[in-house]
Amino acid sequence: MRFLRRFLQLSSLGVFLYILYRTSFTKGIEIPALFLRSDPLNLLANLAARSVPIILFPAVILLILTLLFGRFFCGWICPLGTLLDIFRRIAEWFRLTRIVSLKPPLWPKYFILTVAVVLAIFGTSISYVFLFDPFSISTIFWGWLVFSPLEKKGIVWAGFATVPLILLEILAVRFWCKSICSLGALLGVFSRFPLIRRKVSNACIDCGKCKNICHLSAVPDDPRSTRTTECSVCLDCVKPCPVKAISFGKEGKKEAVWQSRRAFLASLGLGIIGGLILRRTRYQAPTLIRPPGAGKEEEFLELCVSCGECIRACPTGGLRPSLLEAGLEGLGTPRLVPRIGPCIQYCNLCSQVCPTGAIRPFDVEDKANMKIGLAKVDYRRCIAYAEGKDCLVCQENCPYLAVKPAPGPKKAMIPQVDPDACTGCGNCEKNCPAEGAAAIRVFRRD
Amino acid sequence: MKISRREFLAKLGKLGLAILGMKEILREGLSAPPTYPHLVVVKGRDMEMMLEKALGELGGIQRFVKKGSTVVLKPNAAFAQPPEVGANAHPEVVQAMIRLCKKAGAKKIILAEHFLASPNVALKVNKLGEVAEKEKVKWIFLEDPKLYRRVSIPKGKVLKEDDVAQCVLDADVFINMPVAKVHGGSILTLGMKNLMGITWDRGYWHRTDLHRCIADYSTRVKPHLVVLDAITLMLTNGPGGPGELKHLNTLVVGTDPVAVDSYGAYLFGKDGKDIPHIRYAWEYGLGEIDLKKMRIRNLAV
Repeated sequence: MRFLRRFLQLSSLGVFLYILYRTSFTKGIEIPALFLRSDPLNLLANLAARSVPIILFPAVILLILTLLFGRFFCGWICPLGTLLDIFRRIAEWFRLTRIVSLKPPLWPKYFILTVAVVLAIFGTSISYVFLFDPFSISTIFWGWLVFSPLEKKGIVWAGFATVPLILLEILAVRFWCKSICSLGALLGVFSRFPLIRRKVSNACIDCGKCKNICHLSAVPDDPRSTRTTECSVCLDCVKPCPVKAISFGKEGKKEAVWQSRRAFLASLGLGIIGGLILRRTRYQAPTLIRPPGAGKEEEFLELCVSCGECIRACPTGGLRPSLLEAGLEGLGTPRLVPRIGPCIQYCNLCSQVCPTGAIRPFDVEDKANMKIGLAKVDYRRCIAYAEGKDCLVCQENCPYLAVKPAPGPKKAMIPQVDPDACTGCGNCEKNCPAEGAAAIRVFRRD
Repeated sequence: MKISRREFLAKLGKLGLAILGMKEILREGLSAPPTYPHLVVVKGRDMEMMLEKALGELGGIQRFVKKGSTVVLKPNAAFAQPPEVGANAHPEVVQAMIRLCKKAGAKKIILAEHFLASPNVALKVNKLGEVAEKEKVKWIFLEDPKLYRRVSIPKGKVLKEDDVAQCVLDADVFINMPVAKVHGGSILTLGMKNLMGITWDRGYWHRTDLHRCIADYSTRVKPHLVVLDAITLMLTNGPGGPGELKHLNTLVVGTDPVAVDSYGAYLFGKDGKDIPHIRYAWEYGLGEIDLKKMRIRNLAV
């Protein structure tokens, strides 16, 4: 059984990596963002946006399976869990795990979950919660750090968001899963009464072996009972039991983990205050360019969970995580930075991979009509206008013929932007030969 | 035998004349180049036939590509536009050139470009990636300053030194494969302008003096062969397009970069001397600009 589980875990990680690897313009996507689409936490984003999550049906299937089998996902499928298991092995090899051994509390993840639910009910972005989601952590870790190495700022971002979580594994086995993972918490809520669960017979001699073995602290002080909200049905405790008292089936003695009343009230309060703060600090930088297919800014913020899929998929690397360009609420949400990479004409990858519909699906043929921004020339810095140099590189690179040559004050022709034709793709800004910032830059419309 | 002084001098004079004459004969007979035309202009549909015929007039592909040599082709491939827009060298022309090089026994054929669009995207849309895959030749994306080497340009007036793609410097044969189209900055983009795709900091050229830099660069980087794709001329909205097209089904092949560009300008109804970078290159003595003084061979396939 253990072998089967390891095999499933590794193949799940393999499939995850394969899909992520294929998520690129040249390789062609086969099953876009399958894993993120089966993430039930995304349903909260749809709750926030009050929309019907049709593309999230895999997530609903996962929830139904969880009702039957408990948190099997955590032990058998989760790609981050697998990564943590592998890392644990490596850490043990280097004897790092012997330095400290903590007993992480189990309730914080439920705390995070209730905050997320309150935020979603409020209609604010739950992207912060997705800093505690295993799929987005995996996407950011593998997709950003391993597959498409970013520029310095992006690496710092991705490293900051993922590496500490992985390092926590040194302190305790599956620290992340026990204590922090908000998806684990959601699945935990759904596995309070699972059909299949651990059953301990009266032969139990109270030796405590299963309690020590359990990776997820699912065995309480009385080993005859099981915390079904924590148990990942990994079956690791069956064999070591000296009296063979453990089996998995219907009707085992169960109990649930939840947060204390005080913590629960605090989480509600934090959710409300947080929601208010996020709403009050809404802000859009003039250069905040969203990917095409993103609706109105509020809608986009509600739906976007900053999972990082679109940022991984963008073939030019122009999609970057926002810091504060979209206010506190938009931390980690994608924005186009044309100087790094423009939004190219023949691509709709970001809309294909978006798991929540924050970036709505669109045809590449429609792209000329999808206005994500507007290019403006800073004539003081434009070398054709200010210095009379033969340039027009912006006109050269505009795929929509929106930059028109016009007679300038000196002998050279100067660029002029036709706002009706300009889509804000940023090909001009990317290639502008002005030193430092471009002399033609894309700004938000409206 | 006694020789008088007069006789001696006369004989010496004759001998000298004879030696001079011999030298002249030797030079004429052994090392005088066969008079190839400046340009071959070939019309037709079958690119490989057209190229082969045109190169036949210039001494055959063997004159350029020796057995076992490394060939770098620099097609204009910078834009993510499908072939029918005429923003990039036509994939069939590039494929034909690759095949001819292979026939001549080239050891290694490399396609190189410093792109404007993202390389993978551009190559997928303009079909030049497909060609390379079919012919099993390698693309080098010149998107990294490490792929360049700084060289001095002694004859340059503005560009005293600049970066040239290493693969081009190291190649035995360098074949420039521009496409003929209008250009916002340089009026027309033909052969010499296409070399902007093997330099790193193009912005510098724009910021200083574009036409002068193009000509300066050509004093240092001299392709062994220029194949100008005039299958479809892009008449407006160049160089990215899409714009108005004129179908000529023509290739202009030659070894003289100025002659090829000057003829290219003529195809657009312009005089080469009116395009500053072509005029500068002619002033540097890089080639012939006057169509009347060129030997032009017209062919149809």
